[in-house]
Amino acid sequence: MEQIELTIDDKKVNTKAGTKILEAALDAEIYIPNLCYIAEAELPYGGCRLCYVHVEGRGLVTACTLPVENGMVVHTQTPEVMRVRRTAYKLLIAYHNLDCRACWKNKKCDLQKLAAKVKVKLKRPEDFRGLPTEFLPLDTTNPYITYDPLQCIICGKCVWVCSKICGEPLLDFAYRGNKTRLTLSPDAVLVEEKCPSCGQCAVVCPTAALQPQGPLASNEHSAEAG
Amino acid sequence: MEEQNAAEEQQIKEGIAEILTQCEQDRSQLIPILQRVQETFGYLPKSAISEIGSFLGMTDVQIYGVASFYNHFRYIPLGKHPVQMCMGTACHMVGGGLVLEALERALDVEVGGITIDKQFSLDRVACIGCCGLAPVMVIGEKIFPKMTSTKVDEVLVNLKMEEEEAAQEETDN
Repeated sequence: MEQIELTIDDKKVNTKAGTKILEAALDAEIYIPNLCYIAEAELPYGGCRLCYVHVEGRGLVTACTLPVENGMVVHTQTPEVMRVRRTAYKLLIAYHNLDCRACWKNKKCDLQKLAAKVKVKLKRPEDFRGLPTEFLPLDTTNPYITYDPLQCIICGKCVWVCSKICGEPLLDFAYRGNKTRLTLSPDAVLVEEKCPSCGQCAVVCPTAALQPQGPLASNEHSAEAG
Repeated sequence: MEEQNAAEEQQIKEGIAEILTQCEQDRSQLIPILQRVQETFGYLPKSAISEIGSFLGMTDVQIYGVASFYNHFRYIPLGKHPVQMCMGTACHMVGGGLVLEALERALDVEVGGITIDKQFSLDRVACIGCCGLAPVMVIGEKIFPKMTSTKVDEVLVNLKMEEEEAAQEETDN
């Protein structure tokens, strides 16, 4: 494999050809915020837009989509980068229910943890515009997982993990624009039959959108206790 | 009623099977197939989604994900008399919303729904193209210009009477 040398934040980094900037940076212990990145995925999803970096000669790019090149110079902390990331983050939480203290995933939520890194305060209620709940209703068709579109950031991690584990994806996005949401299934009965209820979608979910229910929820509790 | 439903199911199944024999077994053909199914039945029946799924090797949710992206596809059948209320700018400004509300009350159905007797389905559309006649309602192919909420009942009652007369004539002959 061809070796490539690039500079990330004044640090020389050696990596394999074909590696994405984000992966190279994380391996070199340089943190770049990310929510939708999956190391094993063949194609980057590039949906959260939090991993913006500045590449000299190219400008702003998402680090998860651009492969490394020889002699590339990457900056991850410029004021411009921080500003763009902050905007991207605010877009993610534009419709998010920011009542974090009442949320079941408080302090375990990746989205919440990232707020400090991109320097956005989550306490301001004016950040939450909120869609009417009838517009994006809670999906309770699956007895093991409930889905709350108002908490979802459409990162696609659950869709990916579902297609990997089941081989036959039972989760996918539906509708479009700000109405985009996951469908657990257009037909509830099918889910009960086919879904192995492994709960992996809830495990990878960076927010509180997918919540384990019933036996899955109690498993989680016992795992925590043990 | 149940027999009728079973017969309908059977008809849908056969119809889909026929459409699928004429189609290439490739994922890229999904949208053309969905369009043909909608052309034939006026909507995408649930059974159609799973039939197409097994034909193309996709799951129901994936097909639903693609179909729901487009406003063009619908998942419940059209009524015998599809009612469309224009909600374009002109119709909206002269009280189209009130007419739509009146229709919802008169038919006891929500926008995008169908009445229990399957006679009427109610939809809102963007512009029909005759803004001079606003607010405009279309039932089937007949245009009802300058609608008001009070005219809604009149139109619906007339339509029902016409239908009854036609049925009467048929039995007389």
